[in-house]
Amino acid sequence: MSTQHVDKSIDCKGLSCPMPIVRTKKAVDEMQPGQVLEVLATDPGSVADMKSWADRTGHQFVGTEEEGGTFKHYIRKADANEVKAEQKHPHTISNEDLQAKLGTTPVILDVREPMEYHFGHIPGAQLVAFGQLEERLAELADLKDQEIHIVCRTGNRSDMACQLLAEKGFSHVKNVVPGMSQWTGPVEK
Amino acid sequence: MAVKEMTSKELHARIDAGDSVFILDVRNPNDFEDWKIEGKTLRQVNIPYFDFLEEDEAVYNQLPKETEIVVVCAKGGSAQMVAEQLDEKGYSTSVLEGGMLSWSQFYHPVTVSTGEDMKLIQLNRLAKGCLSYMVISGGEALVVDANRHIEEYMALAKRENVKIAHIIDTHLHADHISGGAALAQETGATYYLSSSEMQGSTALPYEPLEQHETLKIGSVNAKVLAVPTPGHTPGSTSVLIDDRFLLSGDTIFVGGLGRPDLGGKAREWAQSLYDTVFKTVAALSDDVLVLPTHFADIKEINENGYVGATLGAIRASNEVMRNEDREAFTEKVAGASGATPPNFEEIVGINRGEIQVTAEQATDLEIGPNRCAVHHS
Repeated sequence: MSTQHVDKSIDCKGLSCPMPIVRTKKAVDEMQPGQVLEVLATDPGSVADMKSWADRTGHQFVGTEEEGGTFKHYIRKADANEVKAEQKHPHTISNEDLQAKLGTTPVILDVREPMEYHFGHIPGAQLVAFGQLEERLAELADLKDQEIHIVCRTGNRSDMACQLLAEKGFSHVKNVVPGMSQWTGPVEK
Repeated sequence: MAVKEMTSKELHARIDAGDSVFILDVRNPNDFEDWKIEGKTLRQVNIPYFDFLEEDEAVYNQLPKETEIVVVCAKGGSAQMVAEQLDEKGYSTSVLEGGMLSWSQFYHPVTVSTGEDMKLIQLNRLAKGCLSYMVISGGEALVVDANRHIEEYMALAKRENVKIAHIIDTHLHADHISGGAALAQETGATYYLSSSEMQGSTALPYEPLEQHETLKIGSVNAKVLAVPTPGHTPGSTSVLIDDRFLLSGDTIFVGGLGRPDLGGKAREWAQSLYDTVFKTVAALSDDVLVLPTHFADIKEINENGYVGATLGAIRASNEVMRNEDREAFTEKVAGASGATPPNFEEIVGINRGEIQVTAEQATDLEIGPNRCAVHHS
């Protein structure tokens, strides 16, 4: 896990309630929308509180892992634009339709952050975080004429990715809507 | 102004006296839903502590300026933070010292009956809905269904100036950790439990309860009669004191019957429960006072301050106690069971002496409400 990319990490080991949440809030306030924070904590109460706090403040609770008594919580700062943005790419596919096609091993690009991908993605989906998409276009050149399904959490980052790829000459790009937040199909970790 | 600290005992005394108490519980909403302080005249709101970190004045709208606010959290830390913030804004606040952790370890003793020959005290562990008993006669005491904070029983025995001689667990508890074996070790008393509950485990020293029809407490003839009442667990035993008080364990509650499903044999145990209710218990008079090991609702605390009701009253208010159709009874009781107590498999292992835990682990395993009664009226 330590090889995964996070934008910031804070150490709350040994601190008890309310300090892990107080520090988390302070750290998130100083971050950019869309960035991922890692919180190390040993207070077992932090597990439920972290999720509950994120839900109430609108930040995304990505997941928690435990390793030798230390909890690692991952929080992605809310992106106001992401919620409101209008989806522009005309070609979409529903979660259900994509799930029905999984047997034919479709090409799926997951454009979320590595940490979100780590906590659950569609089997066979390839990780290309939206922020790195442009610089990694060369790797994707072989897919130019193939059907590509692009997924994120709510369909907005994937919409922007679709627009970018279409502009660069990818001819069959489809945005998966609504995306992983509503995905009920198989998930790989 | 300053933030005051309030102990669980002080908080209980105020609730018990019918004072108007306003509680602000700052734990997260799931924890609050699961388990909270209850009281008949209590006003209470739940606003998680992290809502107070946002600069949103709306959270204060639900809080009274004219009444003292008792702030409660899991262990005391976040309540202190919120209380200080409220104090700065001019609210009158106090913090429940030690939070729900301390509340879960608070025991309130109430005398049920006192006479020349015998005194019967109920110890109510309010947060868990757990009841235990001390029967006193001639300088000796019998403790029934002791919880794990054994110092409570030792302190009570000291106040009453008696020696604890006998300790009974009515059954192998699944929802809380028994203090029976530890209390016996500390006081030199004998620990009794029905041997079928141990299922062959010899990890704890105990005296098979089924081999004793009566136990004598003190020099006075206070009669203790072990009445086998299987159903909740196969070796559940009730204790009839002086033909007047039935310490019923988890077999009969004020509000209904024990749940028979915790051993994975719901139908079989439901039929034993039927036999218990319609044969063993049916022979007892309506005047017998039933004193159970749990209660599910503070409404079960009666006007005398203890949980208990006469067998006649329980028969009258629980349809299931009058339903003599064995099939229908089994169906109803085996079918209506709900969520199992949290961590019940570990707790059973600890109570059999097969698992050892630290005090801190024990606390974590026990936290939360009791789920041993079946609700049906």
